[in-house]
Amino acid sequence: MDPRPEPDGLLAPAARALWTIEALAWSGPATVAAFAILPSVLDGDGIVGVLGDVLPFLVLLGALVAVLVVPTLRWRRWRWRLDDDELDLRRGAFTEIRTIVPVARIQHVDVKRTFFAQIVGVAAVVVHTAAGTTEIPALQDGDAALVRDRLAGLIRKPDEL
Amino acid sequence: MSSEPHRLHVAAAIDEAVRALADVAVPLLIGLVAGGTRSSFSAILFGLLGVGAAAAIGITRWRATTYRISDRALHFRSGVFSPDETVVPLDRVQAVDTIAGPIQRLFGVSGLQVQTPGAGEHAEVMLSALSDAQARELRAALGHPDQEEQAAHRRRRLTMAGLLVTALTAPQLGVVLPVVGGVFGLLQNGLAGESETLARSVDTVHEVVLIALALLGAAWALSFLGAVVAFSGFEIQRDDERLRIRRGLLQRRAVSVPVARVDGAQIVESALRRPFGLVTLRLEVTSLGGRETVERTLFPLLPRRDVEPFLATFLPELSGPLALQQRPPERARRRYVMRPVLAALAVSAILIGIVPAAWPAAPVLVALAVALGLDAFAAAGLRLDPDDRRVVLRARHRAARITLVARRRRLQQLGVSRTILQRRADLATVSVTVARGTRLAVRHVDPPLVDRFLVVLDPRA
Repeated sequence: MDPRPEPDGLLAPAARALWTIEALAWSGPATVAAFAILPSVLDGDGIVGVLGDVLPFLVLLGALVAVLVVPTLRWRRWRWRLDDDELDLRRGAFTEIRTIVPVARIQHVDVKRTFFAQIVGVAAVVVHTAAGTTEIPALQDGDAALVRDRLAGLIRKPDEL
Repeated sequence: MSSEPHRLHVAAAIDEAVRALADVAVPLLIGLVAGGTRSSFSAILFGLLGVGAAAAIGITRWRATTYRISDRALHFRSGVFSPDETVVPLDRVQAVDTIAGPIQRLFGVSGLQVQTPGAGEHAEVMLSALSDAQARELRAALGHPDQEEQAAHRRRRLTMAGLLVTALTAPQLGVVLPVVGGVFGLLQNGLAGESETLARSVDTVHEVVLIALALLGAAWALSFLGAVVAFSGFEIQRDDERLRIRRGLLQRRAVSVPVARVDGAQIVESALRRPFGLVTLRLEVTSLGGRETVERTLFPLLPRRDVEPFLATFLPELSGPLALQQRPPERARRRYVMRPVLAALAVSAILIGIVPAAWPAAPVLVALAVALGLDAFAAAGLRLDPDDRRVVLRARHRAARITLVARRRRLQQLGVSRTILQRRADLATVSVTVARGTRLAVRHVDPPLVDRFLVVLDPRA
């Protein structure tokens, strides 16, 4: 159907580990806090008391989804492709988004390694254009450097800003 | 031009002092008021202290500010305690704007604003006061000579009547919405506790309506004045390679944009102007993209039928037919209608929950939503012609109908997205992004059109 090639590159498998760690980092404390605080704050008879008992479990459920389900789903849906003329990205489990950035519009490229990303050995490639930034969130360290060097070699048109 | 550092004209010291004074105006006023209650002597002392401090700040800042041209770059140094040196390579200068505020005009000097492609607060270097000779010399060194005297082939001014209509139709949804929000708040406060007696609440309703009208009137007057100040004497001129735009009542602003850097133009038909067949043209160019929409105005008010001739005169690079060739399929119509209707139902539910007597508003809101949805459907479409160097997209965006004409080779980004519901219906939303992130999306198009979109706009093509 589509006359163009769909992007087919996968993110680093370690992206799942990275997102799991990141999700744990906020959802763990959030869940503990919910169980510690909510029942005593929302204390009383009737609907308020019930809310106080139920809400922490809803938070726990959300945290479990964020930690166990979302990273795999996200990783399975992510595709990217880079050639001499464009960067083509496709992602999104519920709303599928495809973004094409012409290489001629790219102003500069960063490789970003957060603390957690360093632990699992991945890096994000961040592409800056006048219209904003676009990123490939997790590639193997070496692949990220390759992509960055390739893009850096392609964007040599200073007058085309 | 020599490479030794130059100071700005001494009027810059006064400009800085006035700025400093403006910064301390509020504490100063408080001081004056507080002092005034004790004795007029201490009030005067406070005032003198403030003015003296501002003058000292102004002079110190002026002495610390220098510029020089060397190594094919503009070096701009400013700051008293931690001097910053900004270096702008000459070939990175995107535009040089002249600024003539009240202080500059008082001293017969002008300010220059040097635009660079960078983003954020370092996107420009502001030289607040230069003598005519200095300004000419610097402009020449920057490669942006002032061609004021050159004959303009093409020029158009906003007439007085045009200015008046522009100002009258200036209020945007952004101004009106907070007012409506405020009225909602009033309704809630006024009626929640007092709906016991009907007479009482009718009174309150009257009051609320009056207050709402007063607020609307005030907002309208403000935006009227704002538009008059911004667009007085609006004039556009096309030289060989540049568009020059001048405008402003209190402060004359002159912007010069190289045509080669123009990515596109927006034809904006706001809710208030569209019924009269009037449009506003906005420029899409990277060097102006981050600024507010007023600054990107290509022309404030134009009859719709004049748009194509206007572009043919001032931006032939973007001229050509604007008629849409590709549209969303018929089956997308109800999707366009569904969203505003659901929003209207939600608003109605909330409204009736607060004020049960307001139930007649519900059918009105729903009817309005249907009309808006149908209008959005009628507005949506593209012009994707493989032989055209442009692409045209049209869609309703925030109550305005927007037509984006963009150079195909200068698109920043293409987008195709599908929500779960769209995937089930085999529809998609296509979008293009230009300049500093202006994005226009056409919703609910067919897969063949998506393919055409991706093929015609392919960067490799």
